[in-house]
Amino acid sequence: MRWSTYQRRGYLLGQRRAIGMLGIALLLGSLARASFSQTPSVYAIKDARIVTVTGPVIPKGTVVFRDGIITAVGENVPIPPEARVIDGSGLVVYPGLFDTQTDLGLPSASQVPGPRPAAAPAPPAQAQAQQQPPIPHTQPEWLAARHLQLGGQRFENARVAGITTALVIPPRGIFIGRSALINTAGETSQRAVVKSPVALHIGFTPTGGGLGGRFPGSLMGVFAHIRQTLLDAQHYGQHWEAYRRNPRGLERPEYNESLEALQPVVRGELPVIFHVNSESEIRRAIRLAEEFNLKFILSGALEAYKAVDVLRQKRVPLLVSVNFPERPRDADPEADEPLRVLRLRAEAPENAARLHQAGVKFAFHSGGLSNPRDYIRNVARAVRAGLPEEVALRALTIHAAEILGVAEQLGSIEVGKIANLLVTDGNLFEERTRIRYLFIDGRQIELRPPEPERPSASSAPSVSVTGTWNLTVESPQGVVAVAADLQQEGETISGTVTSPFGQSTISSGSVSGGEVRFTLSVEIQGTPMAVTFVGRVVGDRMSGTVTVEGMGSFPFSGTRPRISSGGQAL
Amino acid sequence: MRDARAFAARVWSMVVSFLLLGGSVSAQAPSSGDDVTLIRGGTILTVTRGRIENGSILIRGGKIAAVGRNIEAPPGAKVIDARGKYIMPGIIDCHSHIAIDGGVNEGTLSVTSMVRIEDVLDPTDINIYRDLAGGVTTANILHGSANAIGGLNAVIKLRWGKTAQEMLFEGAMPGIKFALGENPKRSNFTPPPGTPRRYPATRLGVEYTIREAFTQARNYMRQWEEYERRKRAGENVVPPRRDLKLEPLVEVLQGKRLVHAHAYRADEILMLIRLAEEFGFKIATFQHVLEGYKVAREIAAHGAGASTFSDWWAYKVEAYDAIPYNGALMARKGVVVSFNSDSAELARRLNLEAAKAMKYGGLSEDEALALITINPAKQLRIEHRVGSIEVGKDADLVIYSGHPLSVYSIVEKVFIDGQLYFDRETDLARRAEIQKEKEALKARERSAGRRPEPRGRPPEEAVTGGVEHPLSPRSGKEVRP
Repeated sequence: MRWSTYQRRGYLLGQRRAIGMLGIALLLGSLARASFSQTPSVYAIKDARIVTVTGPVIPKGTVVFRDGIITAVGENVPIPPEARVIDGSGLVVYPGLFDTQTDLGLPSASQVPGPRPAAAPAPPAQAQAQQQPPIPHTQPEWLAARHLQLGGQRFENARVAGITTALVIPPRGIFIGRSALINTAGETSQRAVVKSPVALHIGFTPTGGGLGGRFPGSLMGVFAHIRQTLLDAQHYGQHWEAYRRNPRGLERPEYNESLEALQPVVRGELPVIFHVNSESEIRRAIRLAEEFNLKFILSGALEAYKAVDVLRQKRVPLLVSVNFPERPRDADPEADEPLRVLRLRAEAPENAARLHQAGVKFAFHSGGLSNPRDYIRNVARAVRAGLPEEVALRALTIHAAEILGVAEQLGSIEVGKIANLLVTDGNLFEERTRIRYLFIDGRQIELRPPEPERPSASSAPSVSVTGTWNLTVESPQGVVAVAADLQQEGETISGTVTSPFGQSTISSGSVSGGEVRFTLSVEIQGTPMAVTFVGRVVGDRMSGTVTVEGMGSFPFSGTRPRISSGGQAL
Repeated sequence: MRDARAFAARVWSMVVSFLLLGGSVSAQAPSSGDDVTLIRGGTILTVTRGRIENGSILIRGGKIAAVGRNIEAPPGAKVIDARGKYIMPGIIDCHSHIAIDGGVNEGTLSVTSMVRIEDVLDPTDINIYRDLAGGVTTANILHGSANAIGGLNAVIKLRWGKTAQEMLFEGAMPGIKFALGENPKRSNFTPPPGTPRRYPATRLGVEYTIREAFTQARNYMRQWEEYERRKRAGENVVPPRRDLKLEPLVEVLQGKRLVHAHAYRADEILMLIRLAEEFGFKIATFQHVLEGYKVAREIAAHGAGASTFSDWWAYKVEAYDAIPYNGALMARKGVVVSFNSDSAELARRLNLEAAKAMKYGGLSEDEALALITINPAKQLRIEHRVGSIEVGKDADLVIYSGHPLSVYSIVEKVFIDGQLYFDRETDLARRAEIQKEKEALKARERSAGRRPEPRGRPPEEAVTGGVEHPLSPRSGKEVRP
């Protein structure tokens, strides 16, 4: 109860007061918990190497934390008698790691933040001017904190990868919604949420609406839509302000939930996080942000190293993805790829190092990597490409906390901060290093043995996709039913796909881990178009994204009706 | 063991960085702005001031400082020997769809004056470089023709290697795309299943859509005037909502924005002229305008330009009644005529398009060259800056191996603002280098692939593909303009 009041009033409170309240809230929460939980609430990790991040490394020292808060750090720190003591000899203590953009804990992509209820068919020009149909992917009022689904394998995988704090938001959309910063241990959103809302997220994803489809169908339409919506938000604020000052003689403005949610954004109080990757997108986002005087952060930023001039000059904080572009697994080996594409793949791991050299501040995020363990691996690739280890560590901890406005609570091992701690048996960036202990909000997290490594090319994939799948694609024109008849041999998929456009044979397809990918050509109005399905398979459910060449990407999901098989019958 | 590998990786990344850096330096990086260059000893086709044999052009600070027969190279000047070559002003393409990211058409609505090409310019589109290699230095980047009132244009200089903002033609008058006939009424296109047919479906409907939009724009303009009046009177008023769809149309009504109207049939050309005159604005150019020869006098009287093709037609019913004399006939009636490409490919040889007007219609050499230089400059209201070789104008120049109106001539060098942006010799020399770099990068990927590397799904936004054509955004097939 108290916690949610805090959330609602979050950014209205002064930082210091907010911290105070947070402390009290945590304390109360922990006390309440302690009364009916057997878990000791005081821990001491002694004789460990302590990488505080904000201070010098302590080669052999002790960290003490009580009720979720670090109470002492140093070489000669008295250990309270009631503490549960962990011998840290030969171990290293790091602050918990941030993943500064992920859809962890959010409903699957096909549900969120999906288009609003289908609009009526586009009205004729006359009516259009008065009443535009609701525009898809526009929900600034959407709060990630309200839609959290905690627990499950993905959370366990994230924790095993050392991720204790995550900024959660769906990856796609236009006005995607407002993100939440969560600690990855909480069983309830009340406990998990560290800060909400953190930022409004804006992406440049066209709806793919073709002729007569839903606006905006093109990238330039997306820009026009963002611009008009922000102008409307400014006007809305202006109108209400004037009305509140003196309602006499003024028409009462209409209440609008979306424009209401944009008020702190257009006032420059709540930052916008733009989802961008290419150099052009980065420059476009900066121009747009400046046009409206927004407080902003860029996320993704794979090509940021090409725009260091403007990023340094304008001191733009970055959340940099380490989901480096890779050569597609089913790529034609003979294909003559443009130099630009080859260069981008070669240079991507160097991005962070170049940003660091240019003095640009950044934090890391996983960029939707399907296996969280690849997160640190890819950061290690950035280190091999020239990024100093200590900077990489800062980008995973304190820089993330600073950029997201929680540096008083998180991001380093300091007295008074939240006890999110990672205890490893070696250097974080070494492949063979393992996490021995993990604490989130001062509670020890049981580490299940990590999921088996993703299968290498020779071993068998972990799922079988053979069978007939009934899939539905949510296109801007409505739901399209598709039947996919898949045959799997090793990692290769073949088969046919039947849709309202006819039947097509899969030209290439593969399965890797739980991820399935297949491509086919569909003839629409006499034009062959490449259609690629990329999805995750869990049991008999499949969901993901289908990309139609030149038209955009749409969510799809579906099931495989059970085939009776003796062995599996219950 | 690990350290050795890390060291090797670091060395390799240094080598690659060096290669890349070296590559970008030796790429055709334009030199700094205040250079002085003398192009000496070529045949200069000024377009507006006749031909100068064995002439020279002095370039200072990106502008043409002197043109004539006996110009001495100032000390420190870079001298380019153009003996035996031809020099003409950079070609201006008044209808292009290159360098657009994420769709040429916002086709969802019939009026999309809120969208701007400027927002989505892609400075890395290879077609910029290819068109540059065909002598094009300025292009009018237009929205597609899917709707009666389309998006806002961007006039760019093909400054390959620069950012989108740096490519914009500074001070060029803003414009907007209109379209009449088969494309906006969608008669040749069946919508995908489930999509409602978009209004309008007839030529009458197209006219109505434009009329309705301008009626709204006029009301919007009055709404603001009314607000200003009441504010001045000290009333408690809130400003009207800004409407990005109507603002550009108000600018059209105020004569601050050029209308580039895609049109084929004579009756529709007359329709739009009447409609514009009724609302008190001008059509800057009719685009395609294949039946322009039938109503050339009316086009001239309205003061519109005509930007057409030499001999590209019959790709749809409204494009049948076309003749190769169209350009010349309109020019003879006093219409400012240009030949455009509407195609990244045709843009590479607009000089040959111009040459056809000498055979069909008997235009003089200068008149033919004007079709792709000073005339499109006039149509875009940038003739004070570009379109001819005159002292004080931008040094946007093309050096051809022979006469530009000959099929045997090729572009050797292209300058924009006095800076060398395309050089055939350098291009040829760099091809081997690029191939080598490609092989090195591929080999590196192959060797990396042998290690158990993480395999994430690459973000789909990371690499953007080619440019889509206005009318068939989903295919690479040749389509109708």
